[in-house]
Amino acid sequence: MLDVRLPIGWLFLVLGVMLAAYGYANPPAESLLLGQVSLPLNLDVPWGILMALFGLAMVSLAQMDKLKVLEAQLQESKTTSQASSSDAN
Amino acid sequence: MKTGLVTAQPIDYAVILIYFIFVLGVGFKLKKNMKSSDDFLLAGHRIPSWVTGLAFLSANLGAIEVMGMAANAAQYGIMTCHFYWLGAIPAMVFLAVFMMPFYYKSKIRSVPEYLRKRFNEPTRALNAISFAVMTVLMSGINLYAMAIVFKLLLGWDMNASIAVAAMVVLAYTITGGLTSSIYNEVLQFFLIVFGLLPVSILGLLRFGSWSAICNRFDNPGFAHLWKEIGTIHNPMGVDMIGLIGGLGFVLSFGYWCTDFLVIQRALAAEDLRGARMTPIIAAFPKILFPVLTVLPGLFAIILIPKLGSNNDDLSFNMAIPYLLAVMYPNGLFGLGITALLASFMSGMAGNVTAFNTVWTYDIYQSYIAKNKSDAHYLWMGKLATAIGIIISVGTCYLCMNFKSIMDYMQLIFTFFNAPLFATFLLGMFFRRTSPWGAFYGLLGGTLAAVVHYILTLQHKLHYMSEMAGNFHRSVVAWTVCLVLTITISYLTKPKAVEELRGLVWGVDEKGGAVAVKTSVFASPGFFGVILLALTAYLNYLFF
Repeated sequence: MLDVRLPIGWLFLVLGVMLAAYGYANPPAESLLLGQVSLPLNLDVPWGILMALFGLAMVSLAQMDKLKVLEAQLQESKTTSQASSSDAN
Repeated sequence: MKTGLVTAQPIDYAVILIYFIFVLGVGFKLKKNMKSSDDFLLAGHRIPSWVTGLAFLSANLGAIEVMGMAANAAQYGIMTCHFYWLGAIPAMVFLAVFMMPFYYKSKIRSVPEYLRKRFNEPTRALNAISFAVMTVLMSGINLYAMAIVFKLLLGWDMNASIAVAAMVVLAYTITGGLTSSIYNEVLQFFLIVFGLLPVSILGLLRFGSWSAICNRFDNPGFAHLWKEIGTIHNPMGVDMIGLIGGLGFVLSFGYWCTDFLVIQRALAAEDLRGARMTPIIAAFPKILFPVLTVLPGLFAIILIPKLGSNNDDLSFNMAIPYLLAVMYPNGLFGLGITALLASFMSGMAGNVTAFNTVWTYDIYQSYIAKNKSDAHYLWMGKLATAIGIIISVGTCYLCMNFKSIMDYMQLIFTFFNAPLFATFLLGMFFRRTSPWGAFYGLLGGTLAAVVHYILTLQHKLHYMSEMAGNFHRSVVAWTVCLVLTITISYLTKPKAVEELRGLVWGVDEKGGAVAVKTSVFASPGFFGVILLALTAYLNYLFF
């Protein structure tokens, strides 16, 4: 079955990169109803980067699990083939 | 394009579009796994507990949480946190520690099915029908909330946005069933966190500290959880009985411990431990949810002073959407809108997938078409999904007549969940409860809530707020159900102990299940204690 971390990871990676790139190309919005606080850069940039990192982490975790399963399968097939060859001897 | 409150840019639409593509993609990808009715309606009992835990949580991160809780906070202040720190967390711990073993071990497919095993067919039928009515009444709220947000923020047509949303939910629930619904709930959970968290962060940056926020409230009671509970002159107009008995006990425990929509997600877990850990895993982030829901509501009432006026566009329900519009730059605004969209669709899909299971197994298979092939029930499950969504569109138009989402929602809970919780408590923990006692008790409790509501509408009963009325109504419904059930149980024949194995506290399972020894520190009870301690501390902190 599909690992749920894959669609989550890819979605956040794509959206994060999109937001960061858009934010980088556009100046910060003027009025954010923030009173005295003014932001030095478009909020899209840090938030987009954060999202992309989160997405990357999710995808990597899913891939690592996939590798573990493959490794275990490989190990299993190795032991069964060894057992069958020793049986033949 | 400037038709709504803000000028949405192509980047905002691109974010929404990409989200839709992913949601539909997940449903399509899961389609090949949906071979039997069990796969479609119950996710084949093979989802890891961290996924079911998040799904458990996000199944009710619909319009209720996001817009409703923020609206409530703008209306009643930080007392809204009682929904979390007095209600939800203790109830979730209770579910995990005491009730989940009975749900999981009795191998039921739905909550009404437990009632059939423990009591009799009529009790199950009564609950199945009332639950089906409740879920479609609820899922309409999500559609309504979404349509109103799009209309006000982006200038979209109400009918068109209702149609688009209904169609997307239909597409992904009908292809991937409960699994698709659960997967999307998890996806939506993260979207909501990332989409709404900047509101809280920006708000905190703006004000600097909690005391600075408190100083800005017109009503000082807005800053306290308990300080003004001694009288009814607190923001919510509620007394101790209403708050602790109604919200803290009946409504919260009733919702978290008996509502099939939430239980279903835990039942999809791989094993009993997974099922018990589901509410526990969900409870940890739940403690912090007020940061996403209540805090923005408090900012809204300070920053948008006109909020709550009779003007439809400025109702309390609009607290979060307005903050998104005034605080976010384009891009992030698209993300915020997508998060809201996700929460509504998640809430609606949750209701629809619970409705199709109860309809297919508890009504259709039990009373209309027995002994059909599994393929037939799979087909019926899909048909029920489509019909559930069509009815939701109808109830959505019904919802438009109500002023506040949250009040409406709690009102529905008082009719259905409040008496049901008494039935479950007695069923699980009181062996003498008889089948007919449970049936008439449940019926009586529901009718008591209806009569109480009519008397309130006719001004024969008076409460300081709608919410206070709901809290008291739930106590009345619960008490009537409890007293009636016990009285009738003593007058009628109970079930034989043999039939109660694995269903009632203190009656062992057949053959005696071998207890698996696990460390105390890995048990749900241990985490439950930690959760309760954390909540107690928060109650003290914001006293």
